[in-house]
Amino acid sequence: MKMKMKKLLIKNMVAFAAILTLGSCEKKLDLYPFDSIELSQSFQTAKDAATWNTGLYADLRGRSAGSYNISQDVQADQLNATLDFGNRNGNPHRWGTSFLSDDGALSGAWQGYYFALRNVNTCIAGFETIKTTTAAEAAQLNKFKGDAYLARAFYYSELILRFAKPYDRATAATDLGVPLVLEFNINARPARATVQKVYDQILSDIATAKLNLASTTGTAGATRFTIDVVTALEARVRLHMQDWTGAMTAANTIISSNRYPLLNTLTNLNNMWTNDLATEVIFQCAVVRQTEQAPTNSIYLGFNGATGKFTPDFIPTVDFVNMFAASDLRRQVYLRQLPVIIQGVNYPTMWCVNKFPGNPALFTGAFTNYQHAPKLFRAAEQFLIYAEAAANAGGASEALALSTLNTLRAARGLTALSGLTGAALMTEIRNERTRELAFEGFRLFDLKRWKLGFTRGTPQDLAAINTTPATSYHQINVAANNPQYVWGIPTYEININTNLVQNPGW
Amino acid sequence: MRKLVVMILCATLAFTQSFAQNRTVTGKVTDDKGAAIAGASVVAKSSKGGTTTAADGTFKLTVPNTVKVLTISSLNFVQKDVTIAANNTANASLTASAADALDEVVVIGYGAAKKKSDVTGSVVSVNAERLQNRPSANMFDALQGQVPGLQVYNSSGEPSATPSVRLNGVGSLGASSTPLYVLDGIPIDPGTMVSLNPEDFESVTVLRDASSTSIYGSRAANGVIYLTTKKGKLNSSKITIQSQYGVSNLVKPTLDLFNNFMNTKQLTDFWVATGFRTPAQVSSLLSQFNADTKWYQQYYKENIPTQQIDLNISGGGGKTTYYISGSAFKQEGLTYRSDFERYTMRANLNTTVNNWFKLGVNLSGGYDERQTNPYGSNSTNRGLSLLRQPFYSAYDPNGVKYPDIIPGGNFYNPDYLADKIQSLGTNVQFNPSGFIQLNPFAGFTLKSQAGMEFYDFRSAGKTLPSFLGSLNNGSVSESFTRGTTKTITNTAEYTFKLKQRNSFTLLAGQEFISNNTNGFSGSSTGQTDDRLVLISAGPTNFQASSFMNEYAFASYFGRLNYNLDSKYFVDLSVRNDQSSRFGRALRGATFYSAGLLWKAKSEKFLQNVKWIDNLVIKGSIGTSGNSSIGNYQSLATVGTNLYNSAPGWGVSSAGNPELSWETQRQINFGVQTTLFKKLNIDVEFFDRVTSNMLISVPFPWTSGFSSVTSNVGSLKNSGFNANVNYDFIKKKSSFLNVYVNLGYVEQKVTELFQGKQYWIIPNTGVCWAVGQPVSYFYPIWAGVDPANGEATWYRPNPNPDKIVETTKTSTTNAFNTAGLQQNTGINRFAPFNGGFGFSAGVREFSVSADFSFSKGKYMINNDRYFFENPNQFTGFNQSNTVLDYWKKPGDQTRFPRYGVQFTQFDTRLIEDASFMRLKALTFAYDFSKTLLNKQKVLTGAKFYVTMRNIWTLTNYSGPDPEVDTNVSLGANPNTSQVAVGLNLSF
Repeated sequence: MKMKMKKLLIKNMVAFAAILTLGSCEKKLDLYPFDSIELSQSFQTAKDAATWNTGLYADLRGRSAGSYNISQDVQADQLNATLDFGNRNGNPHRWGTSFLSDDGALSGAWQGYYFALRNVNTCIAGFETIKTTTAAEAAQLNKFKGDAYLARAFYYSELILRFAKPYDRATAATDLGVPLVLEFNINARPARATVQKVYDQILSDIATAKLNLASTTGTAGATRFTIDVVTALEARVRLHMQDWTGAMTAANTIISSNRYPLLNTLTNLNNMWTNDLATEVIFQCAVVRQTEQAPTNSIYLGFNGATGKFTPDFIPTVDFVNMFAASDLRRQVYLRQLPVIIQGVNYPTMWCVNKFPGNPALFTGAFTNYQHAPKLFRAAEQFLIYAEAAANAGGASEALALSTLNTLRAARGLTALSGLTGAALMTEIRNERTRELAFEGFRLFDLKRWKLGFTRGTPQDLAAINTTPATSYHQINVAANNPQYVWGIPTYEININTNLVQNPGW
Repeated sequence: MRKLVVMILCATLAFTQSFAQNRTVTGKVTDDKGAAIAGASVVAKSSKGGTTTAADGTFKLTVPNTVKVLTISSLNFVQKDVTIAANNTANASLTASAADALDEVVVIGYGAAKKKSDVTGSVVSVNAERLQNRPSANMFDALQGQVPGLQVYNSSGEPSATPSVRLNGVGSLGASSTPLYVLDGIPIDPGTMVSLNPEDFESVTVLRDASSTSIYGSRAANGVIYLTTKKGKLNSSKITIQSQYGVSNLVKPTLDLFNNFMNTKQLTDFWVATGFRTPAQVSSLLSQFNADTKWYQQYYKENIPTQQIDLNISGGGGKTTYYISGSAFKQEGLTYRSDFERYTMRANLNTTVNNWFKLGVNLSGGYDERQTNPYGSNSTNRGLSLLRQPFYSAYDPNGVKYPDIIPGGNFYNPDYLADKIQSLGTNVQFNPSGFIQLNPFAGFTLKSQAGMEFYDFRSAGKTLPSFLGSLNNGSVSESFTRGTTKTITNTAEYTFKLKQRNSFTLLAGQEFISNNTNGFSGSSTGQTDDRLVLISAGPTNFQASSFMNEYAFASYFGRLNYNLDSKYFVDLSVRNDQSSRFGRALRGATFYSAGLLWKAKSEKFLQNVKWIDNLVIKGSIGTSGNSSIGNYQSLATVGTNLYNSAPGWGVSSAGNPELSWETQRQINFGVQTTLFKKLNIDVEFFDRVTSNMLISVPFPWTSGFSSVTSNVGSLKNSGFNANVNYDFIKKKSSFLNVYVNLGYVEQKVTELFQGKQYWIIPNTGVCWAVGQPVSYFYPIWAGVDPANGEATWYRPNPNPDKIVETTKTSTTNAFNTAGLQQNTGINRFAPFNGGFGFSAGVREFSVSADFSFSKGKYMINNDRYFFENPNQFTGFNQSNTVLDYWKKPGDQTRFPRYGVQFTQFDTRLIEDASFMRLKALTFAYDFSKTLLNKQKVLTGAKFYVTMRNIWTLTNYSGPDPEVDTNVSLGANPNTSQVAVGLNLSF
């Protein structure tokens, strides 16, 4: 009995141990994701560098349109909120107590740009660790480094526009800018650098990019950075810094290259905005039908395929529509009279913003998906930068300003102006800038640096728009020194990083 | 492994001790009908040694001559002592345990079931019969209010919804607070419950304290819910058919809200009064559209059928028992595209191969089809459909429903949308498990169990080509997800006695759990014909994608149960777990527990106290863990993207190499007593301290990330659970029992991160503040200024470090969420949850009612931001509460003057969502007691009417108070059912 049981026990134990070994396997606990790799393994070869470089452009495309220009454009003076706008983007539009520092409009931009900077900074550090084996690889890596520095300059140029006072030489050394994060460090709690420091960094990054991209010639419709993109950004930045000579030099480099001739027919201008004709585009983000999309500005149209009618969230004011002369090609391209339905009421010929109708080649359905290649740098802006800088420089430059302005006017179907100087010249340049760059995210920041307040323009039809309270909507009156021209630092950020100081009025 | 070997050696040594003078006793163990009982335990009383009976019920046992009596026991039978006859035989006939005594056997983790009264842990077992025959797909719905400390909320009226379940409060601020669900020994996902047939369950056991849960270690911090399915009984056979039919409707609080909207006249008058429209504009509008439509009636249906049928056959003969069942369940939701249809099958087989080898197999499979209404928050196609203007009509002048677009309103009729934009999920569920059990000698059991949770979930979405919104351009997508979780458990258990008074059960075991979830999807567009809507029929936009992720746990555990004289009990357990989710160096953790139980009634000094029938005092302490976070979070990773058709990289996760377990220490102390043979009281106090919480700790956006999952902070939950029930009448022909269950939790955040004293979670209204329960921090409404009609709010404490201390000293007219948010003193989580009810019967009739309640539950009613905000949502319909706005100085009103935003996100929206619900009301007539004696086919027949959620009491003004969220928007409300059913057994 005893022996039998013992044998049985041993047999059982062997069987049991066999089962046990099936179950335990420590290695099975070392598990790795299938959709990502470890950061520490990602900077090894030149191919890795190329992949990182591509990733930076995907990040840039994600920050090229949509809320990245809608937020400031609805805040400015050219749009009215329709009754069907459902409070989308309503907070910046109304200013005052509805636009607060925890608003998605400002926190989205802050977060978006700093998240992109995380990857840029990771690249700048990581590229240094890559050992190249051929001269071709080394040249390529050099270009990638340049791209990363240029991307960093671009993001900081956007951040400083939103979250700091406009550059003023007298106070820039003490005005608070944005935190300068130059390396990926999750535990950093950076304080705000001064406006001067931020602009110095932007110029320094532009200088590095200029060296590294020197041999990457610009081409119309480029979807990766070229030397012309560096120059175009430099012109933009120097204009903001009131470095009139610097801005003129940079802008003139682009203008005189003649690589980006201005479009001067209705068909071509229309093609630029509907079919992504890139003749005068210095840089645009690549969009690939269905697989790669950019943020959209659909709120200006709100097309309903079933009814063939439009229900926009925002429509342009009459005052803005009237800024375009009848002969102005842009009147029929940037704007369009469309059949609109709002709250069940038909408006057969309501003016709508038509700058972002969507490129049919990128549609994924029968109707528009508002996809197009976002155009971050256009030659027209360089003409306007040159004109404005030259007018500001004064003296002999005023004539250069006027002639450059007239070149743009001529292309867009307007007559040449003559004999303008001083304030009159400046007004025409500003109006031209307002018309040409409308709804591309410039207007609010232009008003801010020009130190202009505004009263929102006359609406097309009071019955179609939100009017309550009038002083928050169509009759809003914003003083030049309104603190909300400078966006508040996001509440979240202030709460987490106690080294940050909030802007006044938030 | 080493532990196991040592234990087996010990066991062997114990066994091989020899005895001086022995005799061999033979005998047979049968039930009271004479059928053999296999596997019954035969133990020499007041000595060592024992055996189990063979398949034919016989046994042979060598015992010392001094042994006179054998103790014979078997699961489901009353234990019996048998005197050895002079001819060295001992036969025993065991009687089956009474039905209510069956409840007293519980599984408290691994190893054999224990008598509930011997378990030191806090364990509540619910006989599944109480939860069955309900018009609900998920058995947990019926668990609401049934277990003290267990909070069950149904957040949706979707028939396929999974309720949220919490035990003894919210145990973690970051990781999940859902208990671990274990089905017949194999952990399952809570979402699986909806795929299982409620009628297949025998019991639900809730393990509430560390003594009972620590053996589950790593995942047991939120308690364990152990589900046992039915088994057949030897030498019996039974066929049961259960059929039910009912209808669903909206409940009253929901209808109150829906009917509280303006009609056409009220709305247009309001427009004129506020100057939004001129009288001329209104009359022009009304000349075109002047219906008075209650739009909710278009978005929610009435008297929607629900039906179910279940067939099960169980029994056993010889050495084998079986339970086989099949079921069908179908329930539609009240909204369009809301539906659940389920078919299940189960076979549970257990057999005794010989006197040392048993095995069992549970096979459970099911298939279901589910749809859920997709138009929730922020969609006027249901959630916000009340905003639809009443003057538009759903019907043309001839009373025929507009087939697609509502004229004027320019929106789609909801059934048109449902017809044209479809999405269907189908789930194939398979939960097999099997075990082999070896009993090499008396008291020693080796068990190896393997089980799997497997599902294939497919979802198919399509927009038909005929949909007007994208005419002749259909789109079709299919996605497929497969999840497998494999669990292998090996245990060795040895039960023995020392000097008769000391009973020991030793358990050692090992477990490995691995999960793999993967899937792929494909889509295309451009379909032009409603009859041809496969992916391959779409010429454009072909897309495909796939994903995969995995996790694994490896564990070793041991337990000692000891008792002295069945009066003093000690349970000790320890478990070591390793998880793939944490940094390699910090992957492992060890959890322990100790429990004590004293059966005071067994003491001499209480034996003569007649009015005390039972008195048990117990206490326990122990630790357990929580790892309910996503996979791979310890790794810093790089993810992929695309630019111009080239692959790109970007940092996707900051990672945290320090990531490790969240741990919890819990202390319980409880008393159970029965007085006057009628009053049962079970009270326990608990104290849970969670530390190293797995929280998504906020990081400044300038770092490149908004949060990193880290082990930080601590949280304390303490409170009590009580069950009191009283048998007013307990006779053969009539009964009346009343019960009350109550759970109370007091929550306190005791430590946060980065040295913070408080952290307001952005956009939630919820704050974690040290020393406070999780609370709402929101701007505090101070009323409308009667002088000028301005809205006013209290300013927070000017000292930002003291924002937790609300002063309410000064007010402002300028609303600012961030600037005005402060401590409202309102708890996020309801401290009181429970239920009460009664069951009564006279002869064939019985009635039972189960109420559940939640007290101190608060939610932000975000719907009101849309429903009571006429100058934000001008032109849309509004609740008629907005008519109460300020017009002239001196007006005391609910809303400010027109022109000031009526509703802001402030304390007005935080509503008391406490509720009391009549969860179930059942009237039954049981034919079995009279009629059935006259025939031989049926052995049981019951007819019943049951109602679910038929009555609700709440002050909450949104669609549903039961939703488990901080911010409720567009909730699909819980519904009520009335159903009739017939159960027949043969």
